[in-house]
Amino acid sequence: MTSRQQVEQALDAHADELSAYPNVVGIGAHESAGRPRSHALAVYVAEKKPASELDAGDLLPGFVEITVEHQTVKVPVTVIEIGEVRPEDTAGHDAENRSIEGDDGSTFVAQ
Amino acid sequence: MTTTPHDLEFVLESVTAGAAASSERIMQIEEEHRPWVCGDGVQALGIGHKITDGVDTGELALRVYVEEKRADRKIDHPVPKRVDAIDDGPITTDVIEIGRLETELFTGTSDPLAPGVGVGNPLDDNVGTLGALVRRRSDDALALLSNAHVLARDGLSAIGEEVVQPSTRDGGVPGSDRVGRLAGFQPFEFTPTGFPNLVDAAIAELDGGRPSAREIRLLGHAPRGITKNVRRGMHVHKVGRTSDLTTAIIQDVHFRLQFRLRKTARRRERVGFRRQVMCTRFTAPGDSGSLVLSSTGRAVGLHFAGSMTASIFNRIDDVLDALDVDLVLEGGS
Repeated sequence: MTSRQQVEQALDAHADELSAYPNVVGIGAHESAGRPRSHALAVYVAEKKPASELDAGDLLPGFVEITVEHQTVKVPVTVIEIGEVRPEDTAGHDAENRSIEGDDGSTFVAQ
Repeated sequence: MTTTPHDLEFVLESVTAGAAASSERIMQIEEEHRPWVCGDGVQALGIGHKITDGVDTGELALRVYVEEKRADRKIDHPVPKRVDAIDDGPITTDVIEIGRLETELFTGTSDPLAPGVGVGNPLDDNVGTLGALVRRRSDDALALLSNAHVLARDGLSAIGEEVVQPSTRDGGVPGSDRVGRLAGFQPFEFTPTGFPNLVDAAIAELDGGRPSAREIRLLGHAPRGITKNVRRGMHVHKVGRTSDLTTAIIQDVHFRLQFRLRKTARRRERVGFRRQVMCTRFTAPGDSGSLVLSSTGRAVGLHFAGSMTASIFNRIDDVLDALDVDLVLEGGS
């Protein structure tokens, strides 16, 4: 059973690696509604895609590993679709500027 | 005895008096009828002629406007056929289906200038929300709080740029609708990886041309304090320029976010945020800068970003510390 502390540790250890996957807009902690509560690392994506449409290297891992008292512990990863995240003003420059893509072609461009 | 317009007005005032009941009698009437007046489905009340089978009966009735008519047995607190509250006899009710009432944008002039209304930077022709009034810790100067992407063009602005209310997007005019000038913002750190940013926040010092009020529009009170106690499952609310007063439930208090903002006038780069709070969606474009409050009216955050299903806010203590300001609170000086 994964604890909240283990998820926090996994977030610190794997934030950069997980946020580099295409389509990822954010990461955080997930808690299931049932009892007992189970904790997981949440990866928020703009759009959930079937594994068959992704290159093998772009498929998010099912878990990440952390070290707790010299033991390797697996922390489950939950993928949650929330759509693209954007600043929430209403701007005249929205249409043009916010669709400019980054040089790296990443998919989390704000709109 | 026939009911008079005056009777109808008295009953309407009484059943909708809420906490503002001015007498023992009105308080009693309000309490008795509260379950259906505040019940699920009732959107509005008014006065008009009762219509029966499409025919105007000429009889004055208390009109109850609902989204859609449903059978009484399906409703916890159905609207009574008559309201017996005055000596002149019972008042007839008339339930009228008007569809869903939607909020409309607050694009007007706020005078006095109060939190919960639209503001913008004319150089961006954008609109966000004035979240709260604040005082600078160094000199006590009164300022308005919103996001850097609302007031400071994602951080490209020079100190002193105009802030107008209503925004130019909503018909405001630079100069004559100016309420303040940009006085400070937290610059964004653009990094290819990592999540170094805590806030998207800026202040504009009020220039005194228009009086201001600390009470948030639609709430009628200023924040009652701040709280750092932000938990998953907690209920929060905000008042914004676009979607008015809405509520949400916090989903993730460990949220780290990445998106792109303008690093130069022509180029967007990645900005990573940590210590953010993600909740169910309760905002719309134009609500950026809204103050997020706990159910007890304490400030918990500053709304700045959203997606199809989520709304995201900065923690209020991070915002106030970054800008070196304090919120103007209810009952404070």
